[in-house]
Amino acid sequence: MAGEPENEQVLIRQARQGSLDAFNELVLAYQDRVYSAAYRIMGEPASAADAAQDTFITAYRRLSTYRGGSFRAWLLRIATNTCYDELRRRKRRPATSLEDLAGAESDDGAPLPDQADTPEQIAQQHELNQALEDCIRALGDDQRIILVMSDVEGFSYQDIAESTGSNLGTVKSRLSRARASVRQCLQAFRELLPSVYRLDSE
Amino acid sequence: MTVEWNLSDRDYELLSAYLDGGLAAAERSALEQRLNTEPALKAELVALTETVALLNQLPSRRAPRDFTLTPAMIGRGTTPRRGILYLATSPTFSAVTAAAAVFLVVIGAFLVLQGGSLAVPSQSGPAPVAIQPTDGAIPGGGIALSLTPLEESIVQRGMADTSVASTQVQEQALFAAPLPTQAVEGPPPPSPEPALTISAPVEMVPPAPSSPSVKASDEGDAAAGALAQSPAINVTNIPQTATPAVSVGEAEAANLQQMPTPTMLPQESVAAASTATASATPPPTLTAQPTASPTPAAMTDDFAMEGQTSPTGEDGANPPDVLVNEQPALTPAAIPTGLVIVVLGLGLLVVSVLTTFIRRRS
Repeated sequence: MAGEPENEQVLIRQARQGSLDAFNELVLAYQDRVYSAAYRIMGEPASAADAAQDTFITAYRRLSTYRGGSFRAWLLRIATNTCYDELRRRKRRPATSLEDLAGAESDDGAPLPDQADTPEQIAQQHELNQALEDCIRALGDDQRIILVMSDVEGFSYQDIAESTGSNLGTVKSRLSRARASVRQCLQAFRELLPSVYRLDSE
Repeated sequence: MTVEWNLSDRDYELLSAYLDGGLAAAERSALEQRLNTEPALKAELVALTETVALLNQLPSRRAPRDFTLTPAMIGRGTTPRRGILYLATSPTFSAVTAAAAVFLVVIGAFLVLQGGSLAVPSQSGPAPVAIQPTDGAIPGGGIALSLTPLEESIVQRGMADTSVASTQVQEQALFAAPLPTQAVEGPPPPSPEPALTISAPVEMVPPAPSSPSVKASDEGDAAAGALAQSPAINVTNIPQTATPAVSVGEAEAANLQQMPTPTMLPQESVAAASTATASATPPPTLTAQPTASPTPAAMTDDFAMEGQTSPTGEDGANPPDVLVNEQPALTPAAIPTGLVIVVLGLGLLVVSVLTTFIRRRS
């Protein structure tokens, strides 16, 4: 489900011609990626699910604007834009309860485990990922969306600047602060970290 | 715990950009020199590098549910319109049905009015007979009507012909006016009965009517002979749809001009059980027999064939006679027929409006 479908371009063409079934195959192929990005940007499951659904609806309507290249990147850009718009909207008119933001970790969308590891490693990895997500969630909206786009989803500075309506300088400085914050946040979980990361062991 | 956290924002920015390879050559070499001399800076670079690596490997979360789209989400129906429904809701269909509806209503109303006028003046004498045919002169129209339900294209042809032919027919009718009087007397009585006779010929009608009517209208006066022939066909048809009354009228007009002697007429009138007609025109016994005979279909076919094949009017003698007699018999039936046509037309109109409405909504 996570990989790009082999017949991706065929599905895209069919979807453009109005085939909802073809588009839904793309949805199934990318929904985990889209939801994950939304989850990390929005910080909690309900908003992430809403954003993911909106992302696919928007994507379907804007299929004609897809100009080839990575469909995943095109989709994720829509996802991050959707999340960004929602965050802006909330800033203007805060409506989300604090509970939503606080207890956001959830069982409904646990990270997908890496198959190759032993149960012990899996457990450790799970805790580490949980720690990472906690640290990401602790960031402010502006830093969080940029950090997720850059370091989780792999967008370029330029893409991020366009999506967030910022200039490159702003993106760079926010990203550096976000990274520093996460790095400091992770210090609290140092027991879970790879040896390289245990700064106090030096 | 270490000291690195005391780094300035600027240092973090340098380290972050350095990680991404985003520093200019000068900045990069300057930073690298510092990294060699400042262990805290170096340690922080290592920590940041690891942090970014961890973020990069952060696995996808599993979507809590499927986000597949439903037709409702994108505001459209499940399946595109296809087949009959699609055809029926196409603008063309609505337009055509609307046009056909108007045509039917007009023709039907005309027939009803015509029938009404006939009923009153029937006794007055010859004058009405001559006039009626004139009005009903729409030869093509009359024929077309019977066909309309089947094919609209034919109808349209009929209409075109009508305009041209009607004037000609009227002229002819006027000429004929004096002659028809004889026939007039015959017609009134048979009127009610024709309906019965109609049943047999109905089947035959469709094939013959279309072609002959067209020819007649096109050729005009010169084609009087042709008309004479075509009328024969019309006459046979007349009983079935009642619309034929009109066609008969024209036919008569043509016949009257050329051959006033209504010998043949008895044909249909006989079949219709209208004795009066027979009395008025005694001679035609020959033709009448065939009509009366059980195989009316064969008869009609023959007439039709003649009309189509020999437009020159050579056969003129036979068909015209028949026509003269029939006129009167047909006229009374025109009212119910007209009503039926009007209703049909209104029905078509409803269909047209409905399909338009459905199209707009979807």
